[in-house]
Amino acid sequence: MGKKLMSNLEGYRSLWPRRILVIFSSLVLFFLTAPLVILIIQSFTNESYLSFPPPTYGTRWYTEVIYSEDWQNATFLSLTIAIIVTPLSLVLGTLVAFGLERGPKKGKQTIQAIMISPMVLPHIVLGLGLFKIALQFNISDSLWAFVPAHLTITIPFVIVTVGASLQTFNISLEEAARSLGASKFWAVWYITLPIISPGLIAGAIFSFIISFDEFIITFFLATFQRTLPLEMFSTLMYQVKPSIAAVSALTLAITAILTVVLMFRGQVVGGGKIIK
Amino acid sequence: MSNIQLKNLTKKYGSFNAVDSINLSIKNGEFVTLLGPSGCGKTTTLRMVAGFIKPTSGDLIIGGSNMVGVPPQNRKVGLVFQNYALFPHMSVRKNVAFGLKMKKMQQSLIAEKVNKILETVQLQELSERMPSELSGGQQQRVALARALVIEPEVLLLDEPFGALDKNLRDHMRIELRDLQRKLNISTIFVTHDQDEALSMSDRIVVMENGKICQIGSPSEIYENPASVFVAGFLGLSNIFSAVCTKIIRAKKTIEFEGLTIEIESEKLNKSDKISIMIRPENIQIYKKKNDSKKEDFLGFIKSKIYLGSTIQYQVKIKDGPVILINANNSKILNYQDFDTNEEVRVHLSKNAIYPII
Repeated sequence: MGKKLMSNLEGYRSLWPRRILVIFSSLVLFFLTAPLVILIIQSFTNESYLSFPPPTYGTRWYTEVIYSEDWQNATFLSLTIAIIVTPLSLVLGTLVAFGLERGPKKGKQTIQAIMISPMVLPHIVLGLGLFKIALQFNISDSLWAFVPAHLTITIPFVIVTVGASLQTFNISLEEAARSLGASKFWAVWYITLPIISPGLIAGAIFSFIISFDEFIITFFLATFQRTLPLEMFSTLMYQVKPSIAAVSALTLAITAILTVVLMFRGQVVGGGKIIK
Repeated sequence: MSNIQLKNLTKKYGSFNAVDSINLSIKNGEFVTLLGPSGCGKTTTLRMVAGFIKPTSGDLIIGGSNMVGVPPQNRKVGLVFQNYALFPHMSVRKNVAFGLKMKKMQQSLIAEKVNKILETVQLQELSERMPSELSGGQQQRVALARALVIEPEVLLLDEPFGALDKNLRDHMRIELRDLQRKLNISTIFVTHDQDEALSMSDRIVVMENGKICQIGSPSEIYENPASVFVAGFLGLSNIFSAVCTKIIRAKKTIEFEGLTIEIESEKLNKSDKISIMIRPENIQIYKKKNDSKKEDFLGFIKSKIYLGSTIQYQVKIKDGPVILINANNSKILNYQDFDTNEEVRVHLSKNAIYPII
């Protein structure tokens, strides 16, 4: 009898915290995703104005966006920048990560802090500084300004992700390769890089997403050129049409796909297949 | 003509001598073990031979040419790491083929050589597996095959048995030594495990604080240690400070811990202060009731540890020291069992006492 009471009590005690946790987590999830869900639903309206829920559904605004020259140009510019920025960011960030990990220990902390500071620096401040420099060199409103500017905020992410991979990398693997006849370069190429590939992939995807979504810094540097976020902003300035919802949904889709790839790669590789 | 020579090889870190001017010649096909506690410089020495640490001074000659300043990839050195360092993203076959690929060898020749070495280490069936799918012993064989397939002048082994359990370790010891003999490859083996050193080596180099204490065959090192450190590091031993009190030609009387005993030694002079070593297996104990010999000591069993093939006793000798004795537990030799606190006779033959001068 006493035993039964105890076990009932235990059940009572262990159930409620879990229920509260589930409810709380659901609320947070709802809070985070509701705006996006509403936006996506709205984007499928057939009307000429935004409303929720839409009276009629259709892909009218997607068609308009896809065939609009303004949106095409903006998307093309954003993709161009992101495609140039990603490999550059990956190479430069990886070199910095190697330097920090393998170089002299003295001053490492300070240099690392400076190198990754753009992650926490207000982008307004960064944008203002870059704007001044771009004016000086007369390169604003061009790829010559956009690409380096984006690099300043993407490289820190590569430094962090590749740096983390390098920290867990067993240096004796590289030494083994060298004793087997590989030069320093080929040892890194054949052994180190494949093994730290989760960090490289993460760094590359972060670079792409951040460059593709970047608004503040690009806003300072652009005059007539418009990247996708800039085009969205300027459209919003004049009117709120459902096209903006369609573009947002598309951007969201690209970002989401890349993020899923990132998580999947990270898990598969980190889960024991490659990293032991 | 020796294959590998270390001449006054030194590595300093600031004022600290990690390796202090060591000299060593290794003959073709010889298996030499660097033995010592951690921090004695054995691994630093190995890594200098491999080329990962640049010596501060001294020369390193492999196959007739000086290797100081030559990068690791040009040294013809096969290295097996403590954790094997197998490439986790490559199959067994690709791991083994890596060194040959770096030499830009023809594909067909690579395949042939890899197959041959995999056969030698009995891994043909596992050649397409990934390292993570192999047991510890199999991983070690891959590491060995990978190091050997490039036909190095010297094989370097850095504590390769550390990660294996005891039975497998004993097995791999024999396997590795057989393979090393068959290929007749000069080998430097680094370990802190005295059993591994004794059972595998042609010669053992005992190191302490960056210096070589003694070089010799396992039996030389074990039976005639050059110093108290060597005696203490290899196997169990009773070590006492002693004084020579009387000399009659080669017969010397020594005193230690209240005991007086006569030994034979050429070198000893009167009043010399020395250390003596007595191996626990060289001391006999008998039941007290047996006929007492005059030179035997009386004592009692202070503690008893059952070790399977032997039984280890601590015996407190009357008016003397506590002494460690390993008694054979074989049931077919004149086997005797003693209980704790039992009174016994201890027989110390003069051959059992080794003076360290």
